[in-house]
Amino acid sequence: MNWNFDVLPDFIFNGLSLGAIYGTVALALVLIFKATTLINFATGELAMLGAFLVYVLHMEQGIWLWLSMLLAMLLSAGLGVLIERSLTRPFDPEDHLPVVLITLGLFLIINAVAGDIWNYQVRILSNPFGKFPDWVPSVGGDRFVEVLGSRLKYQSIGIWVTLALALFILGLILNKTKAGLAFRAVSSNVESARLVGVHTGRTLGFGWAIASAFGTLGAVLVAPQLGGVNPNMMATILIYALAGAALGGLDSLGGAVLGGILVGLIQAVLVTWGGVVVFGQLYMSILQLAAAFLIILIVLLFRPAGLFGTRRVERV
Amino acid sequence: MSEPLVVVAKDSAEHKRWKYVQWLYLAGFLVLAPLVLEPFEIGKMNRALIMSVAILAVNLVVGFNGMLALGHSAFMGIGAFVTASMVQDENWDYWQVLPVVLIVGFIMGVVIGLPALRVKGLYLALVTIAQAAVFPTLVNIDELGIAARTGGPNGKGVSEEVIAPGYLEWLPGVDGARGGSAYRYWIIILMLGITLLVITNYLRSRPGRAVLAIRDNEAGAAVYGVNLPIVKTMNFAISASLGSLAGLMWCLDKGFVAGQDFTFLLAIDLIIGLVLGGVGTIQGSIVGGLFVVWVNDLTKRISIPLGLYTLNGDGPLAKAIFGLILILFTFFAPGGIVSLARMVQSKLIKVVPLTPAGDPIQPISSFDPGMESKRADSALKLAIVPPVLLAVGWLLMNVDSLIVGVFAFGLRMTILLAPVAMLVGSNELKAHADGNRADSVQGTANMARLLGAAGTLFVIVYALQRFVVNY
Repeated sequence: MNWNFDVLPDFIFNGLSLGAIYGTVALALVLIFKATTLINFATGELAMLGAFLVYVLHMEQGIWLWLSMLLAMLLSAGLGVLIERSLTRPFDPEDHLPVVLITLGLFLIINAVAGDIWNYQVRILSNPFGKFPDWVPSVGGDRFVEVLGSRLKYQSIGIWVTLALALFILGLILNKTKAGLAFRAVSSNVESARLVGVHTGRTLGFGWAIASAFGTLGAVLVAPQLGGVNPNMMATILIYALAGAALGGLDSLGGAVLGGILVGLIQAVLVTWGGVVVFGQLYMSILQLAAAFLIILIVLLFRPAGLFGTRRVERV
Repeated sequence: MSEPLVVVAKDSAEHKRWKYVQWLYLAGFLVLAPLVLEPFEIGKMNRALIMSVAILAVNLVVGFNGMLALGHSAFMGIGAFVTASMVQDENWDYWQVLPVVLIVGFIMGVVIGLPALRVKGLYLALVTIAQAAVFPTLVNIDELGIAARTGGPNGKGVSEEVIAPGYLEWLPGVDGARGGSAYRYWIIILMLGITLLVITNYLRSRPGRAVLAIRDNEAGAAVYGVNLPIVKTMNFAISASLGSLAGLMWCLDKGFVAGQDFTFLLAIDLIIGLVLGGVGTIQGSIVGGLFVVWVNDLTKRISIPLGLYTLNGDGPLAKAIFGLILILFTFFAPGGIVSLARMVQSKLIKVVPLTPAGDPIQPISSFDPGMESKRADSALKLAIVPPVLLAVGWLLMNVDSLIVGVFAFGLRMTILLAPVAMLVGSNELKAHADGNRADSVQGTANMARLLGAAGTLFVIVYALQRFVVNY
């Protein structure tokens, strides 16, 4: 065994920035689950579509990257509202099967349409944290600061700051606005919310809108790590995000973010670094996806509600 | 056609005759398929029937137990790889692998089902979707000799081809050029038949009824003493075992398995087949398997002339069409093709149930429309529409080979409806002879009988001609 602690911080930083992205997508899943107790399997594909919107707006139309990100988030929020209104609202939310089938159908359609328009090649999307002033130290194009003898990339810091900002804004929306109050009411109890005059349909649409916007944010942030955008980019990320959401608790917003970060850490530190320690080589990288699967199984075995979720009490 | 064309009492002689006709159709379909179809079409049929078994496995969980399982592609993969490895590396026979595959699938089902099914909600969907996504990567692991067993990214072929032994060459289609695929067709039919027998009986057994009770009312089932986690997990494990059986059949039919055959997309195909056929019905699984392969084929045929295809001939559009079908069926036909077929059947024939004494619950004569009867008109429509479709399809087929579908559809309609039109026409004539119909009915009924007979004759001649051409 070769306990190579020198490189451990590298893996931790990597895991934290990956985890932040998983957390963002997990948040998109949980926002919809909290309101409707429904897992939206099209989350990843909606996020991918958002990333392609950024690609079109920024790379093809030349709009400033951050502005096109904002526009894409707004557009995908609109798409989320549209889907909620037209495809999921006609169904009884207590009956999971039809709505899950609808999201699976959306998964296929969005993936195929994106594949038809943009092919399945990877297309380069500018890194939101790729350009820095010259006084920032760099080696080989990577901007970083040294922490604990390891390189902490500015890109990672940028992802954390962006996510923290987005979470702060989400917190403001949920806690300080009327729509946020309505959302919290609906996710706590649909019937009661309806009785006190909350327009539940519109509120669910609001939930879908925020979720789609967050998914888009996650997809744009992850794109540089995947080398660019392509229609299949979110396939594995969705699985990690599902694991993160299950770990944090499917009905806890903060739990989703923390769960996502934990999954990123487990993936980077336990599986990759641990694999190097045990086997001396990067054997285990293929097991990373299996790690997500194992996390879900273990969470369900020992703590089905997740770390921060509320235990469900069934009334018969 | 608001009133049914034929009304029979349950278990009466006429009802039995209709039942015999149904069985005759089924038997004719089964026997003619390997005789008339081209070899590659038999291969497609085999694939469809294998999908039917897998869809039945999914149905057991989704349709009959009300839980969401999206990962049966992985169970199929496990079954297929175990089979390929045992047959190729250890020189086992397929029938020797069968119990191993069933047991391995069962154990995998328990391992995956138990954690997810202890808790209520969508957790099984969560676990199984991850399982489906993970499986293709697990196949490639170099450790523990897994890649050596599975062939890694290259896949694993089975060099020994399945061919009929001498004493089975009498089976229809088995001798001659299409021998291999036709023989595999009969093996698959046999396995499918046994599976259907076992599953229908399982669903009527005590655990099977507990499974249905959980779907209908979970709390109520618990109150009546059903052990929810155990029954759910056992049902899921049986379903997983059945999925592995489908994997074995896949390996037997194709002789080659690879990790990329068992991706999440296959799992979605299974779900689409389930919804297309009809959730929660046994027949729906069979119909779903046939349709999912047929639709897949159709979308390919549409995609290629439009220039929308990738290297495997599977256009990106094909998946979009699948997704669209899934959404449209969920919206407009949640019961699937089976419920649509039942609707059509209820227009054609009504079976009047019996009282305990054995009499029809309502006298058959009360269903007779008497002098006002429009049945002859409806029968004439049934006799005319399919041949028109047939003719239009034939003309279009000569214009553009793309539109073979209309012809094929017309042919199928003729096969199904021409005999019905003939029978209804002669029924009406009989009623007229009894003085129960207006005279004006006579001409239409005669026409319907004549055209129906012509359609039936055409179908028989067409089948004979195909048969002669092939031999």
